[in-house]
Amino acid sequence: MIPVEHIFYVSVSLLVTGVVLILTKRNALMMLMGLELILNAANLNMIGFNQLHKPAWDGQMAGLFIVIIAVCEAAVGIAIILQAYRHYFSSVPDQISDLKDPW
Amino acid sequence: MVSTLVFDPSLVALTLAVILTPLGSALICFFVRGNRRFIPVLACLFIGMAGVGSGVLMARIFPSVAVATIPWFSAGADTIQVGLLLNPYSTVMLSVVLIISAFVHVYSIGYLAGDPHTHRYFSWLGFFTFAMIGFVVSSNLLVTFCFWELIGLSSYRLIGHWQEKKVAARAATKAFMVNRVGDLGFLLALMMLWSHAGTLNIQELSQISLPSPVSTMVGLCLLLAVTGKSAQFPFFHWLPDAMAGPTPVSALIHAATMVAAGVFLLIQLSFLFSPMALLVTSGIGLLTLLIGAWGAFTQFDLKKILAYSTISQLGLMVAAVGMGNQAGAFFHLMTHAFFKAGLFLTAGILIHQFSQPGSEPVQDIRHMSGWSNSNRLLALCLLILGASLIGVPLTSGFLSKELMLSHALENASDSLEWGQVIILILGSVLTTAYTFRMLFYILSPSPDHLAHKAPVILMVPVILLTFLSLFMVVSNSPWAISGWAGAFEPVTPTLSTLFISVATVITGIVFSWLLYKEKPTADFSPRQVPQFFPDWMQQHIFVKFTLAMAEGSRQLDLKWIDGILHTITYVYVTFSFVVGWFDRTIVDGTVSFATHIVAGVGRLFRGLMNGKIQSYIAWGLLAILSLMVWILY
Repeated sequence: MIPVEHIFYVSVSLLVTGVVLILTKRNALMMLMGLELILNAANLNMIGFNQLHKPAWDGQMAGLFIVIIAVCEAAVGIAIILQAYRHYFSSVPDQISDLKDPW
Repeated sequence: MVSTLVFDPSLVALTLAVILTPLGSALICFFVRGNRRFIPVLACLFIGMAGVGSGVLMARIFPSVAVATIPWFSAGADTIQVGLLLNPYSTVMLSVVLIISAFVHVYSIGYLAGDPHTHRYFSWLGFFTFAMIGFVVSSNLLVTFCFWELIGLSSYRLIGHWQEKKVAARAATKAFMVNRVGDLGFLLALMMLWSHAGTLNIQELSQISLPSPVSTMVGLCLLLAVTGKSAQFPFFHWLPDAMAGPTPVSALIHAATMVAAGVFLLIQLSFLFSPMALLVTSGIGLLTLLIGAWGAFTQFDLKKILAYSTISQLGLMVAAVGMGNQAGAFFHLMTHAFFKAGLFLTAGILIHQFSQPGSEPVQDIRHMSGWSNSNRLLALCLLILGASLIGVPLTSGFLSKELMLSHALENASDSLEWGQVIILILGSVLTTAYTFRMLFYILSPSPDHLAHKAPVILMVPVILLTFLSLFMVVSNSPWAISGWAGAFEPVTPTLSTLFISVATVITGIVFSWLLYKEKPTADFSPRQVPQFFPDWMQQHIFVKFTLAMAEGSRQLDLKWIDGILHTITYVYVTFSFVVGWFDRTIVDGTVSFATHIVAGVGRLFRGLMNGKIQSYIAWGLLAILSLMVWILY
């Protein structure tokens, strides 16, 4: 039985890694990956906390649910990035600046 | 004596015809062009007809009073009436004016033969006569005032008949302007009468007694009008200047129309005067009597001697009214009209004889001697007319002067009234003296001068006027007034009055003979004519005073009014400057400060919105973290 604290250590490291990915990577695909990591860090927390309430399964179920949502989200996000790429020939958000003021 | 006659329609029509005939003559002479010989004769006929009409009126009405009035116009509740008033004074005056005017008309035909402006002359002569008789018979003072102004206007036109001569134009303007001062007095008197008595009708006024201060003020204002029109002190200086007009006009002005109007007004309205105003009137009259006589002494110009003589005689009449002797004043006005007109017409003949055509007329009495042998008739006329002016017995002038003297003697009780009597006698002596001085010069024989005969048309009016200057025209007796003129209820003279009259005449003759002997005719050295102080007064008081006042006003304007304006301007400019500074600095400054703050804040936060999605996320993260920290701790 893995202690809960260890699960939390993993999820925190995943969260920090995701945030750092989002903040540092220029490519939108990489930022989407960081987003997945943050989502999965939350998922790990669900599973970890479920161990503290033994007979219940709802934490496990929520984790399963979040996986499904993450799949959908990734599909939508990749689709948007693909469409943006087809339109702007780039997947870097900084280069997509039509809405920005001219100055 | 007074019994009001109901004015029957035929008499009204006759009076109106008499008034309007001279106007018709004036209009015909003004509008009808063409035959230059025919028009003056027509004018004479018109005036003669009016004269006959006035004679009929006098025969019918004198000595009763006839009035006729019709409403003229209404203003609010007040109605102004226009009407005729024929009391003994105005009836006689009407005839006198028309007789003199007719003679002057006839005389003018001869005197102005060859003048290019005969039409204009005769039209204004007719108009002058019309204005005067309208003035005489009008019963309403407002209408009287209108005619009074017309008299002034026509005298202005006639004095300035030779308008191309600068002297004549200036004299006409002077006469007109001086008369305006008198008109002011007339107008003020009318306003006071209207506000206090409520009527301007002479007959109604005579039945109203005004309170004493009002009647004094009215009297003094009317006296101002009379001094202007009748050339009394201090306004007499226009009359000698008015000699620049044609001589027949001078005769008309001096005898019947212009200056007589003032005295006539005084006689008609003397019932309005308070005792105080009457005293002032007699004072002015006596002063003018002496000044005029003195003025006649200093002159060598024949017409100016006669002009000053008129001033003096008018002073006598005004003084007589002031002493309460209206009948005497009117009597003298009438006799004076005849002999003064005669004297002027004689002077005109002499000037005509001695002047060469195209040169300046000779009017100096030192150059006019030596004709009496060649024209004895004219010399006799001159002598009789002069005697009438002096008041020698058997002339009409004697009767009127005796009347005034006896009235003054009869009423003299205190020292003031005895003083008035002494001045009257002194005036008579002076009158005799200057008249004989003039006669000595003119009638002295000297073989050097040869004069041509006078035309008959000039002689006839002179002879007739000489006849009218004799006693039998006004009285049956040569010593006291009796006959038709007894209707004026004159004072009966005493033997002492007769004695004084004769004594003054003899004294005056001796006095002037002594003076004449001292200055023989050969002395032709130019003599300084003394300036009378009205001219001096006009120059030094009115002109200089006006100029000084103008200068004072200028200084006041420059120093005070401009100073005040400048100060106000400076205050305004300074205040505007301060306000402008406040507006620019404080108000604008506040607004700019606010915009600067907003702009600064905007600049500060604009850096956050840099369009980089990661920085948004980073800020969002920071915000969540700080929120968590805030909630948890």
